[in-house]
Amino acid sequence: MKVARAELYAQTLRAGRGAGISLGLAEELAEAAPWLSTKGVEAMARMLYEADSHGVLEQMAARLDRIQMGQNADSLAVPLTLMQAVAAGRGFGVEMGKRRLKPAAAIARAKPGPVQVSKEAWTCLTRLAKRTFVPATDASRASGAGAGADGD
Amino acid sequence: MKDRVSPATVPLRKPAEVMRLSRMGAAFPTRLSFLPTLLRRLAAEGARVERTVWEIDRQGYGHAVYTVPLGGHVYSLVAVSTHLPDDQRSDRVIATAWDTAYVLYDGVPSAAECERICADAPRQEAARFDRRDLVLSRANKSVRLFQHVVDSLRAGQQPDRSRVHKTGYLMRTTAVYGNGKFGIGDRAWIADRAGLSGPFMAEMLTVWLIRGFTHDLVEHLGGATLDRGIKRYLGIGNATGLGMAPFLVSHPLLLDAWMQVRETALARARAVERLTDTERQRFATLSTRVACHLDGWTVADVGAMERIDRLRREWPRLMAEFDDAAMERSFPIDALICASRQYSVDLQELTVAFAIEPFGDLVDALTDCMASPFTPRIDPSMDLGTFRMALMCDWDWALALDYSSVKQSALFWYVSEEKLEPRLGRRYDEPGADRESPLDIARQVQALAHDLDKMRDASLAGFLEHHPEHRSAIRRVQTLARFPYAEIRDNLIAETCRPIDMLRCKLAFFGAARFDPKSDLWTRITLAQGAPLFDELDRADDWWLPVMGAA
Repeated sequence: MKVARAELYAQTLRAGRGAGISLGLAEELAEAAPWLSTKGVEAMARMLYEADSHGVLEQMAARLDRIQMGQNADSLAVPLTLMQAVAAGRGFGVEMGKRRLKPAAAIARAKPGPVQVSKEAWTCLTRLAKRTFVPATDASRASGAGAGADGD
Repeated sequence: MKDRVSPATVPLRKPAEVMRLSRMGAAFPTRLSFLPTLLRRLAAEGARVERTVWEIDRQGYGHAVYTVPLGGHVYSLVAVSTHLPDDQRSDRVIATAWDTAYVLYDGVPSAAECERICADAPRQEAARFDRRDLVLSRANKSVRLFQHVVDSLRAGQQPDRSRVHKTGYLMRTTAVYGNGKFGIGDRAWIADRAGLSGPFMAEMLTVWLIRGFTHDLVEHLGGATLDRGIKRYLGIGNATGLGMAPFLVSHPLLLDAWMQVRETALARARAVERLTDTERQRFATLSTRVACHLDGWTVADVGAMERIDRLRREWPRLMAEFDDAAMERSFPIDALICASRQYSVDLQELTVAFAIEPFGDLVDALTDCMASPFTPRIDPSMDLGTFRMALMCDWDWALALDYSSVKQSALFWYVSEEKLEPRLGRRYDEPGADRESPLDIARQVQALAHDLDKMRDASLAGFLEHHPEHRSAIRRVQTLARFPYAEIRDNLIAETCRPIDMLRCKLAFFGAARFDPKSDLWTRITLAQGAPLFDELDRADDWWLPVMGAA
């Protein structure tokens, strides 16, 4: 399916929050949206969905901090395409050296327009995003914005 | 920045003063607001709106298409009008049907594209859209006014002016979606285009075209022409709720840009040493117009009406100080702003908008800076001393609060699973706080400061390795150090937080007037009231604070 980049941003931010990763990391994953490829979205959705991968994602953010500071960093079990998109969202690049990650030029932004995502990846993100939604009650419905003055 | 000349200026008002909710919630539209900016652009280009399709039946149902060139591209509004049972007419996000639905289309839609839009637009959030659909919107008839106008025209009369005055619009939009929602085009798709590069320009173009459609629809149903003065006074209503408020928190660089532009414009006006005869004349005219506008601004909410009443009392007193002699002195605008400080915050902010209005040549080019190409980025190399200094300088107010107290943590923002409607809950009375939206910025920053206090001799990158949970707050602190108007300097989960203040600030930047709050959570407003009609773009520069029958 095709989704707008802004939809991917919003869904990723919610999914990250729903998955329970740190807010700052969720924001950085969301900001990678303009650079993410179909494969990058898949990798990200899978890692968000599998709680065991959350620690690795947090480590990725910390390693990108080092690379942003011009240092090399140990490699990680994160697909390079995802790491490069997150780095690009932060304004720099990363590439794999002989054994370690090292600074590089940022990858180019994807062409403006929607991104193709697999149904599975989008379903993962949607399920996680739902964890941030609060079930409706009669009371919350009655006190919502717009309530109480219809039709005049 | 295209604004290459650097006019004289005075220091900008301080963020600690400007970025308080109480002041943001007193904002007025200015000539720098988005809708007037767009209309000046259309006027400068000599743009002409054409109605290329009018397939509306005798009951007023069907579709119409309007096209307008802007910045070398052509855009079309596809307007779809359908029957809506009265009991389904609602301002709420959770509504599922509307009187009319709209798409702003990139180009001129083919018959097949029109057919697609006519089928999908009335379904709104339930449908999927294409990247050539740039904006999605819907509007309901004002029950108070729409039928009255139609009936009057059918009877060979013009509508009752007092009823037109009281409502000010024929229809009210209840959502104007842009930037990728439901598959419509991303803003990045159009952000580099002349005329649409400013914030919300596609949305503003849409609402201005919708307003023209509402005029055409009543004339079609009424079988007669509306008086031009009345028509001009009929803007487009809008009902806005909580959903708009988090935008200001999630777009700190835009908030900074908007405020910098307005405050820079004010500073330039204050630095004007002598007014020309034309400017003095202009201020005199506008002073009367403001008084008339205040006189005609009546709302049902008691608290809001008290504020308007106070404005009505204070305005003549301030204007008495801004007489011919005062205008002939040196730096008269600076003196006016200083004089306004003895009155309410509402009056002070009205005076800001008033002070800017006559100086188009001096300030209009600043609107090129309303958009920001940047996003907030963390700088892990910042040394902790510099970071702590930023915390102390900009966040002292946030660090001083006690978020364990009920008063400072009474509210939580959340998104309901019910059509994703944003809502505000009471933390200690309602379930759902475990899923709250992260608008508790001040509390987050205090938690960061608390953990930072325990950290000695480490770099920020080292701190982040131990405390990844503070990454977001660190980025906000660093952003504010560079962009001083990027944060609302109030606790958004405090018992005293009124979301309506955030809404009003944002809506004023859109160009909205006649704020008509219905609670602390939502407001009705009028856009494009007094704005030029499709064939009046040559008078696009003078419709700040509309008055019926003016101009």
